[in-house]
Amino acid sequence: MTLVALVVATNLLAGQAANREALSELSSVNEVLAESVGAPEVTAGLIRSERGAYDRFSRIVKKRVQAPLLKRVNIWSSEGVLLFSDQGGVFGKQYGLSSAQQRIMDDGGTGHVIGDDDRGETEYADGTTDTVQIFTRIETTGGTPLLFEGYYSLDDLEERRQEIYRPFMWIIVGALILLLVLVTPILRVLTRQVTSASKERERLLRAGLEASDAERRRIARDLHDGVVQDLAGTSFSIAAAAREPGLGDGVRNSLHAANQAIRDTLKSLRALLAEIHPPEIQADGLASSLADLIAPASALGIQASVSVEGAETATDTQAALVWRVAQEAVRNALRHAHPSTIAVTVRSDGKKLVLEVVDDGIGFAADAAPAADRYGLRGMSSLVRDSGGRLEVRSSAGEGTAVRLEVGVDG
Amino acid sequence: MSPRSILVVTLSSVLGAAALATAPFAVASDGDGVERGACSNTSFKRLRVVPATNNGYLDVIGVVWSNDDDLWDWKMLHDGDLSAKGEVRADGDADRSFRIKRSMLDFPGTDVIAFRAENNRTGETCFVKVDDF
Repeated sequence: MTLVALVVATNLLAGQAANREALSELSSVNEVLAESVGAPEVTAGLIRSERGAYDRFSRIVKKRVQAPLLKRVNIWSSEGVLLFSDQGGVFGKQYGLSSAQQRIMDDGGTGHVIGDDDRGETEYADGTTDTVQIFTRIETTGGTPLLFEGYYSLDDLEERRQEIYRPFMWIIVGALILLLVLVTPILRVLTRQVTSASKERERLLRAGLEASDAERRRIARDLHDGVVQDLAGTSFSIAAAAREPGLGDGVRNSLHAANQAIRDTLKSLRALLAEIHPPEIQADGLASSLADLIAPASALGIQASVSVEGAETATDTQAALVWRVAQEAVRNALRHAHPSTIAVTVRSDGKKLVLEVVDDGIGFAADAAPAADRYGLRGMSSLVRDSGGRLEVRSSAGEGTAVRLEVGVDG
Repeated sequence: MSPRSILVVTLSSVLGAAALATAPFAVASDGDGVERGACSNTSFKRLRVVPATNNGYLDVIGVVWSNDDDLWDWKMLHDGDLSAKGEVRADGDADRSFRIKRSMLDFPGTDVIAFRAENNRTGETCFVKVDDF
């Protein structure tokens, strides 16, 4: 595509350059004719409109102006009077000069007008309208400034343009093809190297992620099999000790309090384990997994609840999506919203699975930063979109926050 | 000379003169302007003006028949202005002595074209004019 654009653009520029060159050639032809025919042969008799002078000048023009491109010759006075035209009949009248002609008459040099610049003087012309009119200022031997105007066919101009352009076109196309031939193997090697490097980078990244995951899994397993089991055993022992008869109320209460502290610590540890290594979520275990998510809330004095109904129809993938969104929403609520209550509900009507995480925290204003940015749900939003679901975050300052996820249930 | 011989000679002279007077002049086509006549007893002239094909020009042809090989000065006038002039040597062996052809611009309205030739040696002058062309 780039090569095609390059060829088209280059050809366009070459075509314009060829057009300018062809026009420049015609201008040079006109200048030579003006200097060799126009200036020396325009007599005082012609300026005085003597018919014999017209005849003599027209014969000179016919005899000496043999340029095949030239279709017509006009001689203009500085007042815009057509002193002579080899088309006959129209001279002696005042048609006026065009702005381009007037500029050349004033400043000298050569100018041109492409297309029909007819101001009436072509009434006796041969019907040729597709012309480029090139005019050159000349001076008679008596010093009278005049314009020598030649009409040249646009078809001839185009033919000349093609003659100039064609070799350039082949040079351009040939050079580009040669460049393509030379560059293609290099590009192929470079592409192969980039692809190889990309695959290697991906492999390293995947290995790093797997290593990290394995390490997190190992830590989680060690915590679960070690500290959590130990604390659970300690909790059971303390509970058993607290039930021993003969203990004083103070000691019993202290044991209950210690046991409660250990149980709270266990909840926090389980939540931490879920953070470190999310469990393999399954639809029928969604409720307990969500319960683990809100476990830290009670330690913060937040009343948290989980309600799941009808999630059995969801796939494990959809359940995992619900858990991931709920995890992000609950984490944001605990960290930023300072709520007194958090309610996590999951409902399914058989067609769609709906998760709502609602808190009564400080919320945020509608004109504040976008919710997805503020609550780190941007990743979740794209994840939800990719799964064909819809994520909505509603909040206002002091009114709490509601995160709602809808995802279709297959089957 | 018998009366019969006189009649034959007279008839031959008349017919010969008629043939001499008419034979050199071509017949003009429609739209052409032609004037012809005698310059003297031995010389004849013709001026023919023909519109060129759709290009705004006239072809003007002046011809002189004379029995000599002298130098002649000639001029062509267009509405009284000198349009062309020159010098030419007559060709006494040809069927016409000299023929001058020039193009002129065809102006709107009437064009008056004249052709004048003068024998440098004898001073004989041929003048012919096409009016109202």
